[in-house]
Amino acid sequence: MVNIGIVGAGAVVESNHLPVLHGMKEVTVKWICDIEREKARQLSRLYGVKGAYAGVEECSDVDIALVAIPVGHRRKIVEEIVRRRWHVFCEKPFAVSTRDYHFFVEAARARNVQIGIGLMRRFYDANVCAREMLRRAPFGAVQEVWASEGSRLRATGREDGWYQTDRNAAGGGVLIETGSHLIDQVFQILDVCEFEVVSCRQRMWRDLDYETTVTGAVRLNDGTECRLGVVLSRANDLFSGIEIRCANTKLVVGVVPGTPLKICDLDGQVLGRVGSPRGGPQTSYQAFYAEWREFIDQCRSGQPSRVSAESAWLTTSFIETCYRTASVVEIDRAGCGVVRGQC
Amino acid sequence: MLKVGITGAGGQIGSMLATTLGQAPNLQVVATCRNSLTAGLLQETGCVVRVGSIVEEQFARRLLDDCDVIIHCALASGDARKSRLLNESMIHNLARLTDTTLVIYLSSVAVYGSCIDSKRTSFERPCPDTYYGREKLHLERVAIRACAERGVRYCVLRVGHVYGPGQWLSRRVVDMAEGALGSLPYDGRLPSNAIRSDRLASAVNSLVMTPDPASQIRNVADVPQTTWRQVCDWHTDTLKMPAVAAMPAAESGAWKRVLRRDRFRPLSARLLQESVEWLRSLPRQYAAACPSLREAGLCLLARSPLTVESRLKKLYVTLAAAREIERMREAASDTPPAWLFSDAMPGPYLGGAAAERGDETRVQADLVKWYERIAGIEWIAAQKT
Repeated sequence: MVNIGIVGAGAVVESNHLPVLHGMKEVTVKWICDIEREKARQLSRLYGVKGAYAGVEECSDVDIALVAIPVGHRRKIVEEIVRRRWHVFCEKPFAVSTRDYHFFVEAARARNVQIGIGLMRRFYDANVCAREMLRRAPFGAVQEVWASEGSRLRATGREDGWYQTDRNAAGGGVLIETGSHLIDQVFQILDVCEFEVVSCRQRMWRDLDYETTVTGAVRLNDGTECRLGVVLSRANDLFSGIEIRCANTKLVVGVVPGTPLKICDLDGQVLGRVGSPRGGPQTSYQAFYAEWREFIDQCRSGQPSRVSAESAWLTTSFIETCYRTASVVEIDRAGCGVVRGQC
Repeated sequence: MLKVGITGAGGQIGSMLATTLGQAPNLQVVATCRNSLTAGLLQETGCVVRVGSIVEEQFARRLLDDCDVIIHCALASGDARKSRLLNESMIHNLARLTDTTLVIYLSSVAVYGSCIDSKRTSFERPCPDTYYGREKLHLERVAIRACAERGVRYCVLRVGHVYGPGQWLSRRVVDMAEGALGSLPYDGRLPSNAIRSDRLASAVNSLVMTPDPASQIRNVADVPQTTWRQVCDWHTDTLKMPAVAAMPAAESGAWKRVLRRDRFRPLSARLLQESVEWLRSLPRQYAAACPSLREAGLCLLARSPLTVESRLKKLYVTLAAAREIERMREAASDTPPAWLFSDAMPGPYLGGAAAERGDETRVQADLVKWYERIAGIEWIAAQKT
């Protein structure tokens, strides 16, 4: 039996992790911990979890602790967790900076505990299928990759005080919040080993980016180099997906589970839709289950898996580089931008 | 200068109204939203942006007490009971504002039902058939009562389906034009009950500028009513896409009969029928879920006369064939939305300025720009660094 503790009683825990963990017979959730004890208590009652705490220091020992709190507030918590020698499974994004990345990974290594990152899109059937297909390169070398995701921010249902309104808590705006998924998807599918950011532009208000446009290049593990363009937005509705242009075909990968991989000609005509031979996760819950399975196996075997934290290095570094080098246009009342220069 | 407060300015309609009315020279617009993340996007509207919740009276006063007119677009959603209490609270707080002389409550065409049948639903006695429609009707009544008690004039607007850049209906039409989502019943001859976003803003602006408007309930749709074909063709002509396909008349008639019959049966009757259908499917589900049952059946058949086995085999293969064909049909054609088969909303409509020539060009340009960004990725590649 694997004992799990959950730090953070927010939406992703209530809507995704708990429903999945509740159905896993080999797992017991021992406690939920949140700085708002009442939130932890309510969620514990709902799911029949025995412990509800306000601080990790109060919590009993477990095998794995899920860290599902804002990324900007994780240092002390992860430090305490590894000190107690619990394995750590972090919700995305993994870290706000490469400095924090190294801190977390080295802290875990020093205590000989496993540390993982929950990036469930890696398990989507279309993602797995695209990665396999590109590895075998039946379509010719990859030449360009374009990725975009966004929709105009509408009713959030959230009050002020929500972590995404606070740069220190969230680590940034749409680039880190959504980009940590989309950019990781691109890097995983293509098997990227290096990147270069040529330009990054951001539209910001009060230190939060609402739209980020990046152009650059990536080098793949097979030595291929290709052009990269990424747009993320909370200001505009965008096409949400990844388009991979090869010598004689285009592959289009969605960002929503269950979207089949599309194979198109260079004019965009869809030639077919494919799934992987073994049929991978098609829904969010299936993807969450798959990532938990993978991490639990990693903890048992001690061998790195698809959710090892080490695999989050490139995405963390890319996002940090973008924030550091971005030229910024402020959203202001007149509607005309005032270029602020680099951050 | 008239001061207009918009609640829920972060939502689809609220943000559109804030953007359009915020540029009106004769209005000072206060746009409220609940958090500073949403407020960031409202900076470009030209409105005064205030962040806070109007669920509690003291905060509602702080945000909106200086406004002459309130356009209430905010709607709490989520847990049914909790959101009803929040919605009622917001309405009561708005009716209590000191300087406010007019509250405009945005209701919905949904109060008439998802497939309006003018024989069964009326302006005076609308018959919603969805949870959303029932809540909207309930809140209309709360708003009317709250305003009447306080002597505040009200205008309840039953807003039709809004289309334009960023609106869900436009996305739907685009999907239909791309062949991804069905065809137009009766070749789109039925009234749409739709309103283009700039016309909605224009109509609301006219209402706001009317001196001492009487308390009223009005439907809001394009005036005169546009048909579904006109709505779709406006999109496809602007975006240079092929026209949305027409559904054959016989198929249209069949769907209309089914959808209207279903919509106006009481919820309890629909629940009973669906439960019976589910119970009928249980034996089949049991057989499919139990490999042991199949094994037991085969052992029994091995001892049975040949005629029994061939009859059972025939039953099995005909059921399997019917099931697979049904699945294929379901995959090929989704049930079309009931609102494509509606009659026009009954009752009086809100008048308002038709879109000026300039607006038409601007709205079309905005639609093209919006579509380019959602259709694909080519526009990124074209961006200069």
